[in-house]
Amino acid sequence: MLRRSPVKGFSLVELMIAMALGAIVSVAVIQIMVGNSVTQQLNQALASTQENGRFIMHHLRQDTLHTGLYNELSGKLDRSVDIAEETVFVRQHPIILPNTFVSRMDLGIVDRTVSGSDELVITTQTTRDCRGYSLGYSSGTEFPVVNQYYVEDGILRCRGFDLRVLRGQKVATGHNGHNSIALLDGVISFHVLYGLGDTNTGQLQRYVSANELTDPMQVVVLRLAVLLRSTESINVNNTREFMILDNTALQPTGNYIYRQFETTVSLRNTRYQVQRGEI
Amino acid sequence: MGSEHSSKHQLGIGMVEVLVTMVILALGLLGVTSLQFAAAKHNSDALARAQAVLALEQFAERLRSAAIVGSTGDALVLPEAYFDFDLYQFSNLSCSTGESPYECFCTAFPASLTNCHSTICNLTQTASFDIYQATCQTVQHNPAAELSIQCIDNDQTDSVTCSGGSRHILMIRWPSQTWRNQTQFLSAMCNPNVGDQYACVTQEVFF
Repeated sequence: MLRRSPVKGFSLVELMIAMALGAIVSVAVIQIMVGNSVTQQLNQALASTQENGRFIMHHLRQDTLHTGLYNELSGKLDRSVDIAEETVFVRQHPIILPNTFVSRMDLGIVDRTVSGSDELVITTQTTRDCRGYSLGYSSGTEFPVVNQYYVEDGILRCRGFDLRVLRGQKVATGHNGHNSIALLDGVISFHVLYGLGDTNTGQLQRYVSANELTDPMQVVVLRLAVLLRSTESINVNNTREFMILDNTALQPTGNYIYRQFETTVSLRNTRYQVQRGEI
Repeated sequence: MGSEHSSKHQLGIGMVEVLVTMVILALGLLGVTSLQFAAAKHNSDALARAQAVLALEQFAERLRSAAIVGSTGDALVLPEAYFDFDLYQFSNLSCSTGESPYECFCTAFPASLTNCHSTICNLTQTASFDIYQATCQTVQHNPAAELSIQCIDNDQTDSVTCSGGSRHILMIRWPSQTWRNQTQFLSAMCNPNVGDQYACVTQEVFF
C-alpha cells in the first residue's frame, strides 16, 4: 500500500497564487525599467543636441566675430605683399561673393532653400585658418584668411584659404589638399542672413539672404541658424515646424529629436568702417 | 505509526508574508519612480536655462547692432522703442486659436509687423522686429518664459529713457514650481512681488 509522504509540498492552488503574484510583481518591475530606459534615451538625446547646438553656436560666433578684420599696423602681420592694397581689398571683401577669385570662381556665399544649406565665406586676419593650419606661414604670423563653411552629407564643414593664394600672389602650401574638416555631425540645415547697416550710422536696416547681397561692405550683422538632429535615433512624433531665419517652415520627419539654434553676430570691424564712411 | 508522527511539520511561506513583501517592494518601486520625476524636472530646468542663455546672448547682440550714437553725447544708446513694453510678450499681437505662443505668432510672420527681410526698416520697425524674433526664440521650447529689458538710467535729468553708459539688464524668467515643498533658491531679481515663483537668467549689457 502506498504511504503518503510525510513531507508536504505546495498545493496546486498555493503554487498558482504564488506564480500569479510573482508575475504581477515582475510585470511592474519590467514596466518601470522600460519607462526608465525610454526617459533616459530622451534625456540623452535632448542633452546631446543641446550640447552640440551650444558648441557650434559658440564656435561659429568666435570664428565670425572678427570678419573683415585687417590690422595693417599689427607687428605680427606678414608683409611680403603690398599691405596698403591688401587693406583696401579686405575692407571691400569682408564677405566673399561668388566670382571674386579667378582661381576659384565658385568660392563665395550661396543661398539655398530650407531643405538645403547655405554657404558662408568670410575674410579675416588671423594666425591660423578655421582648420588650425598656418598655411605655410611661421607660427604666430598673421595673414589674411578666407574661411568657408558649408554642409555636406549632414556634416557642417569648414576649410580655409590664404587670401594671397586665391588672388594669385603666392603659391599654396600647407593646406592639406584644401581638404575640409568636420565641425559638427547631424546638421539638417544651416542658414545665414546678412544684416545691412545704414551708410551713415551703421545701424541695422535690413536682413538679406546671400542671393540678394550685392555690396558686402554694407554687412554689419551676421545671423546664423542651424537645425540639428540628435545623434541617436529615438521614437518620437515630430509634429513641430521650424522657422529657420527667413525660410519657409520646415517640418522634419524622422525618429530623432530636432532642435533649432540661432545666433546673431554684430561685426565690429565692418560696422566701424561703415560708421566712419571709409567704404 | 512511527515515521508519520515523528516527522517534523515543514512550514512554507504563508500568504501573509508574501503580501507584506509585495507591499514593501511596491513602496520601494514607487521611490524609484519618484526619483525619475525629480530627474525629469531638473533636466527640464537645465534645458530651459540653457535655452534662455542662448536667447539672451542673441538679444544682447541684436541690441548692440541696433545701438546708435545718441543726441546728447558720444555714447551709444538704444532707440526708445526697445523700452516700449507693449512690444514684448507679443502684447501688440493677438491670437484667437489659444495654441502655445510659438504656434500662434511665430510659425508665420504677423501681418501687422514690418518684415525687415523684405524692406528697409527704420529704427522703430527694427526694434519691434528684433523684439518679436527674440520673444519667439524665448518661447520656442518654454511657452511660459518671458523676455524683458530694464534700464538703470545713469542720467535721469535728460529726456532719454536710457542714457549712454547705462546698465541694461536683460532677463528671461519662467515659473518654477517647487518639488515636494523643498526650498527653492530663487533670485530676488526676478521675484519682485511676494509669492512670485520664477526662475530666471539675466544678462547685463553696456554699449
